Amino acid sequence: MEPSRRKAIHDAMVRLSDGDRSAMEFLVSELWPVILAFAERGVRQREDAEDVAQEVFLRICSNISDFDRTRDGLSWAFGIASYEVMTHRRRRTRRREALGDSELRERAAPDASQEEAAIGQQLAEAIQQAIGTLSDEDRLHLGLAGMPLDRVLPSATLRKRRQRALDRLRIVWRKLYGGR
Amino acid sequence: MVDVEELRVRGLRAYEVGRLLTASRIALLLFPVAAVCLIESRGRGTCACLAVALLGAAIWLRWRDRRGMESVTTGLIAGSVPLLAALLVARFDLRCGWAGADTFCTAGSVLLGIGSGLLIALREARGRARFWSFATASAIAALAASLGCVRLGILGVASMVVGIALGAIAGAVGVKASRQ
Repeated sequence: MEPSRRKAIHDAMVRLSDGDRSAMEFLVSELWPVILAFAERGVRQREDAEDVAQEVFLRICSNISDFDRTRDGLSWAFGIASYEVMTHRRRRTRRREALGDSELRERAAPDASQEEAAIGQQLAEAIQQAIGTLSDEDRLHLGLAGMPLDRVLPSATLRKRRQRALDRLRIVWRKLYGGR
Repeated sequence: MVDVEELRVRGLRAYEVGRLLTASRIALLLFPVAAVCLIESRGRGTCACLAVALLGAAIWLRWRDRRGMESVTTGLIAGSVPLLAALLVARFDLRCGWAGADTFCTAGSVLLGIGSGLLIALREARGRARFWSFATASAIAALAASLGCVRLGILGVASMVVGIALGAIAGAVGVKASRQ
C-alpha cells in the first residue's frame, strides 16, 4: 500500500477517535476494502470473509475511542482483523468436530431410497470396520465407547486427543479403502 | 455483497455505543465520590443533584469529543483538591459566612478555588486551549468542588465557584501574556 494512502487512513482514524464523525465516510470507502481483502486472504470463502470483515469493521468503530494515535492506525486495524480471522477459523474447526457420526447418520436416514439405504448400510459397516482397528483409548476419545470425557478432561486436551484419534482413523480408512 | 451505506450506518451506531461506554467509565471514579458525599445526612438532596449533574456533564463531554474528554480530566483533577479539603473541613462542623470565624472558611474556599482555577489554566495552556475548554473544565471543577462544599453552606459553594472562575481567568490571561 502507498504510504500516502496509509497515512490518510491513519489520519481519518485519529479524526474519528477525536470525535469527528464525518471521518466515517472516508473510512468506509478506504479502510473497508482493505479489511475485506485481508479477511478474504485469511478465510478464503467469500461469504464468510464478508461476515468476518464486517465484524472487524464494527469492532474497529466501537473501539476507536481507545485508539492510541501514536501507533499506526492500519496496523491496529490489522491486529483486530487477525484476531477475528483466528476466532472464525477456531469456530469452524470446532463446528467440524461437532458434526460427528450421529448427525451424518441422521442426515442420511429419513427418506432414503432402497438403493441409498443399502449404500448407507455398506458405508456404516465399512466405518465400523475401520473403527474396530482403533485402540480402546482412541474410541474413548472419539466418544464411541465408555463414558463421555467432557467432564473428565479439559476441553483443549480432549480436542487435541480427539483430533489425533480422527487422524489415525483417516489413515486406517485410506489403508482399507484407498482415497475414497 | 455488503451494502456500504448500511455498513456506514451500522459503523456509526457501533462507534456511538463504543464512545458512550468509554465515556461512562468515569462513573467508576465518580460513584465512590458521590457515595462519600451522600453518607452524610446534611444536604443529601443537594449532594445527589450535584452528583447527577456532574456525572451527566462528565459523560456527555467525554462522549462528545477528545477535547471534552481532556476538559473533564482537567476539571476533575482541579476540583478534587477543594472537594477533599471541604469534606475534611465539614467534619469539624464549620460553615462559611460573613461574620466571625466563618469568614476564614469563606476566604479559604476562595483561595482553594483560585488554586484550582490556576491549575486549570496551566493544564489547558499545554494544548491549544480555547474558551470552550476553559469554561467546561472550570464547570466540571466547580461541580466537583461543590460536592464537598455543599455542607459548608451556600456561601461556601459560591465562594469556591467564584475562586475557580477568578483563578481560571487570571491564569488564562497570564498564559496569554507569557506567549506574546
